[in-house]
Amino acid sequence: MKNFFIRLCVPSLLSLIVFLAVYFWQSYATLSLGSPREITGWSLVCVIVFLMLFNLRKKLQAFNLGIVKIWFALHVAFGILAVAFFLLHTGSIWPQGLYEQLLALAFWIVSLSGIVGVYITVTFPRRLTDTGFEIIYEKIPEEIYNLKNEAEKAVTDCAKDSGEQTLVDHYNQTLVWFFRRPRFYWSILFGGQANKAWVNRHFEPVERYLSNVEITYLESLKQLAERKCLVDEHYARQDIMKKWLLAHVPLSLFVVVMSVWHVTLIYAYAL
Amino acid sequence: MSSIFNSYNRPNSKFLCGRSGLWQKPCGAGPNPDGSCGGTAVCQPTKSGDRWRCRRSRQDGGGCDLGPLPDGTCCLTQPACKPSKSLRVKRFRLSVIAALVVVALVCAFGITGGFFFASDPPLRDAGTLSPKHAAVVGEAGCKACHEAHGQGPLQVLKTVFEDNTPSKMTGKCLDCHVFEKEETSVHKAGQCSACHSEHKGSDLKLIKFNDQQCHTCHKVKFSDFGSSHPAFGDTFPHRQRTKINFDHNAHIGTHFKDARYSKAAPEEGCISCHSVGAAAKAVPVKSFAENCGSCHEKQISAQSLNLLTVPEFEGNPFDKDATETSCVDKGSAEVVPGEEYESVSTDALNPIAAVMLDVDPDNIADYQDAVARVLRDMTDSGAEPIAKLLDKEGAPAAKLLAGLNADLVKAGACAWVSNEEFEPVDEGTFGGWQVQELSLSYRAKGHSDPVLKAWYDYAADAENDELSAHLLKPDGPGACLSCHSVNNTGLVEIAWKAGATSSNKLHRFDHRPHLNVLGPGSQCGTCHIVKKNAKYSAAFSQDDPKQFESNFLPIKKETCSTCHNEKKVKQDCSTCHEYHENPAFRAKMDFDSVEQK
Amino acid sequence: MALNEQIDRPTRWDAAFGSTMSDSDFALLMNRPEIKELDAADFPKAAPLEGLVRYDMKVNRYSAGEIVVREGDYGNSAFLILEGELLIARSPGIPEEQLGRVSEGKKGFLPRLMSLIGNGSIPEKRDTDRYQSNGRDQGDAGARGAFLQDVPAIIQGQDIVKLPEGTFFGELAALGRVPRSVSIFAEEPAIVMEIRWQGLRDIMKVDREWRNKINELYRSTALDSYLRQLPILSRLSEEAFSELASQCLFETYGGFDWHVSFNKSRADEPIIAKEGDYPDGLLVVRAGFARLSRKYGSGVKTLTYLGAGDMFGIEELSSSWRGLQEDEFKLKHSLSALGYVDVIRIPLGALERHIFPNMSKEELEEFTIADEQPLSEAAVMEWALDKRYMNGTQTMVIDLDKCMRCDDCVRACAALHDGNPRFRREGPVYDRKMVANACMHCKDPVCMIGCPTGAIHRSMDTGSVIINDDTCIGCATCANSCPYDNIVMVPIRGENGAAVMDTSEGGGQPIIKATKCDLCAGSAGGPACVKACPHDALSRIDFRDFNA
Repeated sequence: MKNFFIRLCVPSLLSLIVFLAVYFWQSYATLSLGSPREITGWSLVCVIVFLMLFNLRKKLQAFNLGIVKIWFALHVAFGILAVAFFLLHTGSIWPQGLYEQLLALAFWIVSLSGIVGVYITVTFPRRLTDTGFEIIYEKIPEEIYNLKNEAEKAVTDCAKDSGEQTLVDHYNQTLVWFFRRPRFYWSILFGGQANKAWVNRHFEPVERYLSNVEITYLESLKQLAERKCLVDEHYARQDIMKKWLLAHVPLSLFVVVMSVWHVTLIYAYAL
Repeated sequence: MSSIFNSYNRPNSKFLCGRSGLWQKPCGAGPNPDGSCGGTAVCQPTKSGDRWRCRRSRQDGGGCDLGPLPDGTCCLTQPACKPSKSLRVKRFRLSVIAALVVVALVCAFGITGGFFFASDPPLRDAGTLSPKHAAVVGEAGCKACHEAHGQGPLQVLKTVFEDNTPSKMTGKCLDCHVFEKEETSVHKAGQCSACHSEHKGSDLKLIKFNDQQCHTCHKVKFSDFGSSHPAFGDTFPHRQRTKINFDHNAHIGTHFKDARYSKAAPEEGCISCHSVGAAAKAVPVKSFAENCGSCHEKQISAQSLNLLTVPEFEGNPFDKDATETSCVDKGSAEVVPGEEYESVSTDALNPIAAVMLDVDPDNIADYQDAVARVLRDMTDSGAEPIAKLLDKEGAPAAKLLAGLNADLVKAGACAWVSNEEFEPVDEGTFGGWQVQELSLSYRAKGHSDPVLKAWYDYAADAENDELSAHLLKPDGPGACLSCHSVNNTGLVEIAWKAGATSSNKLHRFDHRPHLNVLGPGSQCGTCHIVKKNAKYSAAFSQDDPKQFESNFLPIKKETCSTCHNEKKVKQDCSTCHEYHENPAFRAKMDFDSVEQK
Repeated sequence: MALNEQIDRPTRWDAAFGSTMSDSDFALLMNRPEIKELDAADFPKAAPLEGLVRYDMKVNRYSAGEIVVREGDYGNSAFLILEGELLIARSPGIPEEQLGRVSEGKKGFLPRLMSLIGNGSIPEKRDTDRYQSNGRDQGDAGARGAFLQDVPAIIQGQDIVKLPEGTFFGELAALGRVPRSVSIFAEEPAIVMEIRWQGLRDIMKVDREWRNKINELYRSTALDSYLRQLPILSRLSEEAFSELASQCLFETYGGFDWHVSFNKSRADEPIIAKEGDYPDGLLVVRAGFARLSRKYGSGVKTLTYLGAGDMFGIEELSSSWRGLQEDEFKLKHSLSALGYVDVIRIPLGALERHIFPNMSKEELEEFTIADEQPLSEAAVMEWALDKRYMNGTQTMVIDLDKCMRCDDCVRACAALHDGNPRFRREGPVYDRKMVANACMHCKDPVCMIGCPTGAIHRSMDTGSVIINDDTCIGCATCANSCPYDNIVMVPIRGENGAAVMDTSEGGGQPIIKATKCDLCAGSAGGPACVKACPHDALSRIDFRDFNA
């Protein structure tokens, strides 16, 4: 994490310099009765184009266009610069006019989602490693399936072994919900422990009705449930680690296309 | 660890096994490249001879025990899944949709005024117009200024690429707002939008201009007015002498104190003569009648304008018959042969007549015939011959001879042709044209007498040395020029109206906020301090208005900065300085031309 | 279902070592005494002697000045001089620029652009037409055709050793999987037989004479060339050197194919030297890895590992020489073989006679073994050595605290390999770092041992371990050998997306090929995975650095 902020140093300095340069350029233009809005507007366009280039760079892996971790640091630094340019250009957080408001809304969502993305980048990997095991996102369905099967096998074996239906009934009534698919998505995302609490809460009640033979099966079932908790933690976090970009990328294209029309309108109406 | 035969670890694949979405076990085969399920059957049986053989690969266990079904299908099948698109593909599609949504939005709402909105859609609301412009624009709406409004997207795009020098909006502003001589003005603005922005609601916000913008171009920079604005000029605010020769010092110091005039003297100080109610950039003086007439009225009629004096003749220049038809009463004076002709007049010709006839007034031989001709014609047609003479010079005869009674002229002419003095009817106490014993003159009826004014203007215009010498002097007829100055700035002009004309259009000052600002009873003296020993009147003996000495001490910057400084009153540049020199309107409230567009 | 392409299942000798051998050359070789003495009956049917001669050997005719092998190149073959003689330029060695190295071509701009557009979704698509053409030259790419410009001048300045007819050389590089130790060239035209090491291995397996001869040769040349590189022996005179060399012992511990037992989870670790014993000679590791450990509590604690060039016992031996306390003489640590280890033992007598006297007091005192770390830190080393990761020169380590699990690394790898990723982002995790299943390009690549065709080989100029897809027959030996499961067997598909089958009875089985990370050999700029990670989580490290 510290390493990330160190990598951000030079790009941040660069974007600060660019900001100051444009700031003084446009303030001179204001003083000398030029067109400062054009300057800040086109600066914003240039920065947005640069931000878009990041996606392009990732697609052109074969062309040795620079190390992606540097591009990433530049993308984050220039993203902040874009916000600064936006405020400089519009002079306020929220513009007039429905079209510009829609553009601003999209821009703010993109920027905020970017900042959230940086937060995720810096905090989530550590939490994933803390779970103590590693699983690929695409393999989670298989793992869920296996856990579910093993749980059902344990429960049926218990019934066969002991002749009692207690555990089977409890499983069908309560536990099957948990094993069916990943659960407690939002609790995990916000750092809660609802999954562990649920497991603790729902395994305890049945103990008093089980014989020693069945208890061993309950123990193995609990181990499966604990493993499932870890899988769920991976699922929730890896899911959001992939899906936050579903907000960021499409909306950024939305912003770009809207900006194109915005520039057209400005030049047709006001300049 | 996963098997070495695992071929499913491909994050770049476009499809995911459909079972993974349902939380079942995704099959190891994975979707086919075309998106169909790849794991419906474990093997693809092949016919060898008349038997079907299982073709399951060795790594999956080799041939299975059961073998294919009799019809050749694999025995280990499962229902096909519906492979789902990977997250990357979904993201790409979302992006494309997002872009297309914008295009759709723009096409639906942004171009023609919308399919769903009759009036201008709120999508492009740039803000309300300032009230004045809104009134001008009226029903025409956005199209009044933005021609591309309401047209298709292609037209809007085309507009962008048209020639934009100067910008379209500046051109539109200039449709109504004109700035004369802007090319030679010191401030040549580029685009109007640099300082003026519309669609901001109230009038105030139309203009945004701050001191720093001034300092960007002006070489002499300073931090604020109060502390470091450069000193005002040596004679500020007087750039030239006053139009009316009114010596404040002489009047206030001497004349008003004179016992003879003390009754007529103003009692309330400056405001007795300067009309505070009409205060603006200057505080104008009240009329002559209010201010000056009580003392100076009499001197106006003191001196007359001598249009024509019958000069001395040598010998009788007139025929006997000359006046027979026109002059009824008189026969011509008979000239008894043997008697010597004795001219009734012994004067020289007056200067005006000499100039009109273009003769030497002292040389009888030179002027005798011309004058005689005029006099003879006058007996016929009154003042017409004089008018004709004036017309020949290009003078405005109608004005110059206004009110001249033809009959009176004829009578006088008849007398003079008969070598007799005319007997005036009355004393002419009311002024106007008088035919006197041997002259035709005019006396001012009162202040701003139009005939005399016309004569003075003509004299100034004619640039005739004799005429100028005769008329353009303080003690000329009507004593006009004792107060009204004659100014030669290339053209010779007489200043009839009192009041300063500011030559600096870029300077702005309004007396109104300053009146009484220093407390009741404080008057002009706070800023306008009389200069006791000013050689004021000396300036009026020459005709260059720029050579002068003012009655008042120059106003120093410190006087203003007593109040206009950081702590007290506002002191930004635009308080006192203008940007546009000659702002004006091409047409006022021109609704028609706007609507025709 | 699309129609499956069918091609013949590739076999070991589809691609001969040289272009089709002429019958006269074949006769020449078969009549050679070394080969004639082999009993053809001893050879298995799958790999008959005649096949070995025809397909795994070739006859090279070198012109005057032509370079045979270059020092530093990785080699896959050994040589036998049939006619004429060859020269070794031992010291100071032929200058680098005259050696005529050819670097492998990199993918051009247009092909990269096309791969962007035409990057199909068919996994492991192959153009099967390529496979049909036989007879690809498996010799050292670029070595043929390189000439020394001014042979007499080179000979003048060098310490030259002549190799007469009948000399067998090159087995060290071929069998030892190490770079060529010297440059060898022809002054006059010479005829040389080149045998690729798979053929050599097969002959050695069958014939004892060859086996003993080669092993002897191996030992003596390895010993000699290696001793010359040791810093502590650099000051010796030629006479003292040969005396010392004759006294040195060359020892091997552990099996050459240590991975077999390792993969079966029976990791043998033969002891080379035991803690508490008195050392009788200095041990210098020539090749392989050895664990340095000491007793700790009820177990054994690893301090570090020794690789090629490291010495064991010098501290204890030098304190004996300096006449210190008797306790100082005993070995403080144990040395055990991780995999296989070649060790050179310099006896104490030789040390005392030739080496210690020439060293100053400061030099004698500066030998220290690695510092001891607290248990928790040492645990990483224990884990890594148990897994035999010290072998890796390009181990892919993913810092899981930074990794966003975004798979950009795998995508980048796929982008440079026609849409087929060449590693998997999974692997053992320890101390918050994952060693991913990407080929580590081991110092000792055991995957190469069993390859029948030499498809898996060391690249000439970079030394990376590469699989030649054209000659891979899909036997999966390498995949099964790799102790780290880094090689993946894939079924290949044709242009239409259907699996390619072989032409055997019953419609055929899918053709499979071995695939693994090749460090992006065909592209400029090095491995794409490292450059593609936005979060600085992925690195390819030489395990020495990981250790440090």
